[in-house]
Amino acid sequence: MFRKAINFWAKHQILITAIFFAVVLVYPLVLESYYLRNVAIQCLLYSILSLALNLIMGYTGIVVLGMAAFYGIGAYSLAILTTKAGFSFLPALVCSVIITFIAGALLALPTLRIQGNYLAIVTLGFCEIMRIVELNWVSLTNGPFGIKQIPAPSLFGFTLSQPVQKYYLAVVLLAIVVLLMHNVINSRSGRAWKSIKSDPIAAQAMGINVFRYKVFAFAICAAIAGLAGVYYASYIGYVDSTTFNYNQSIQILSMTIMGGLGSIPGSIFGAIFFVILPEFLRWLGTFCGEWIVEWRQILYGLILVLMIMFKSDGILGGFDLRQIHLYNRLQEKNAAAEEGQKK
Amino acid sequence: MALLEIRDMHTSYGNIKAVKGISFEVDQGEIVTLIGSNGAGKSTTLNTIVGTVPIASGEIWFNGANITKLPCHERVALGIALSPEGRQVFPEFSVEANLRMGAYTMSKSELAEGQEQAYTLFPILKERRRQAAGTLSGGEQQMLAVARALMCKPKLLMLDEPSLGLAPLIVAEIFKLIRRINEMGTTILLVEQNARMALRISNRGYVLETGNIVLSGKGSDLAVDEKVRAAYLGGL
Repeated sequence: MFRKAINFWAKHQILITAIFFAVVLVYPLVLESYYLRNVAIQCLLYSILSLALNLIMGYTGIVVLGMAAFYGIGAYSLAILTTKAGFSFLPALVCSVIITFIAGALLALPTLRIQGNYLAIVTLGFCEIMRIVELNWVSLTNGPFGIKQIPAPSLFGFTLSQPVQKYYLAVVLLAIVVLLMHNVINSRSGRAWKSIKSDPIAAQAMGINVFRYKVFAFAICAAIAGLAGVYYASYIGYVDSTTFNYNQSIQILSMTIMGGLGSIPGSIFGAIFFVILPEFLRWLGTFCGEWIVEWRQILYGLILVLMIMFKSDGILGGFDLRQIHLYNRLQEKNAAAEEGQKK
Repeated sequence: MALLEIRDMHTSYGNIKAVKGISFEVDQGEIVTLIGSNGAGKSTTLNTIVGTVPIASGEIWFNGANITKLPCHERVALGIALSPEGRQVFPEFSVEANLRMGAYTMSKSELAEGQEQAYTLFPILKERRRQAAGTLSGGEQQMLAVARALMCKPKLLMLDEPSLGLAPLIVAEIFKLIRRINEMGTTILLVEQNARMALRISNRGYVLETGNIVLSGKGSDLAVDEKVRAAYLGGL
């Protein structure tokens, strides 16, 4: 059944993407509940984060356990730039993204000497260090009090204060990230990344500067996560260090892995799934009792175990829709040719 | 002047010395073979020349320049290509994308030209150009690995065991192609366990034993050398 669904999707790829976008665009107009819009915004926000991680993990093959660090740097940069330095939203956004880009590159330069699991642990440590810095650098970050009254996003003198407007801002940001990733992945750099993931030695022998591309991947991944942080800070209006902790990193990691490594729709799917699941269970809990909410963690564990057993590269990972489409068309052509020969 | 000159090269993996001070040269237009048994340091030699394995001491000269300190990707840009052992094609890439990776250092027009050349040399690859490389047969993958290495128009093409694990008929085909590539003007440094075949098409050869060159000479001379025959040609 899964195969059939994928084949169907491969065949009607454009149509399905269009329907998805239509749903995303119409959603807040149809459903006016504050709560539902909020959940949708969370989905969009985590989609961006999960995509950022997918770029480095799914395409370049570097495991990063500290995504929350970049997310936090982006959020704090915006908070500080708008509340203390008096920047307006757009310049602050650009500066914050540049800051996280540089932070990503700076982390990558010394740490890429180590590989595999060790590197993953270092990024985990970096996440923890950033959290402690955010907590203790009181003069800059207000320490445990966090930064309050971050202005709502505004574009060209127009303030986006309504949730609907903020929702559409998130849609625009996600669309930009998806387009950017789609283009980068199918470019020369994208092929270089994929070849590094596939076989770093062979990639090197092709004349690819592996180190430079890894640093570049780190920096772009950080910049995208930073963008999500920027959005988060201006959306909530308040940042503090507890948001950007280890659990946050793991949450993003689960979304990327479950959705599918090396798949853009996969990352979005993973994000939506993990945002909606607890909300859904909470809703279910109003019917059949609170126990189901408490059993949530067990359900998570079960899902992860099942995933690892049956599809370790994620629900939408490990295949290329375009390849499948080409293959199916070829099969059909062959079948038609055979038919013709029989006649 | 030699195209490639190795001077007293040492390479080690941690404490294990794999190559213990070898010197040899490859002249423009030649086919040179390194033969030797498992663990003699043949692959290590090639990997050190292209730069995927760091050199411990010694010098590598290519086309009149000392490239010992250059990183791998700059050596490739200078015109050294390696087709690694065990057909390391990118399995999830299509054949075409694999070739494209080979031409990574080249311009777009050169890419088209290289593709054209690859498809004339290996017509089977054209048939399969949209197929994922991992789905090709062993021989086809080997052809793809060679074609991919040729994409960057190397001055020196290094082939690491191109006959490994292939059926005898395919092996003969591969060697025919190697000769043809050589006739088209590419210098070839070959590493082989299939010493008989390799020596037959080579101008010169070197015999490696536990990291040292123990014997060198013309391909035809080595093929009839008593010691080589005993050790590598099955005593025939």
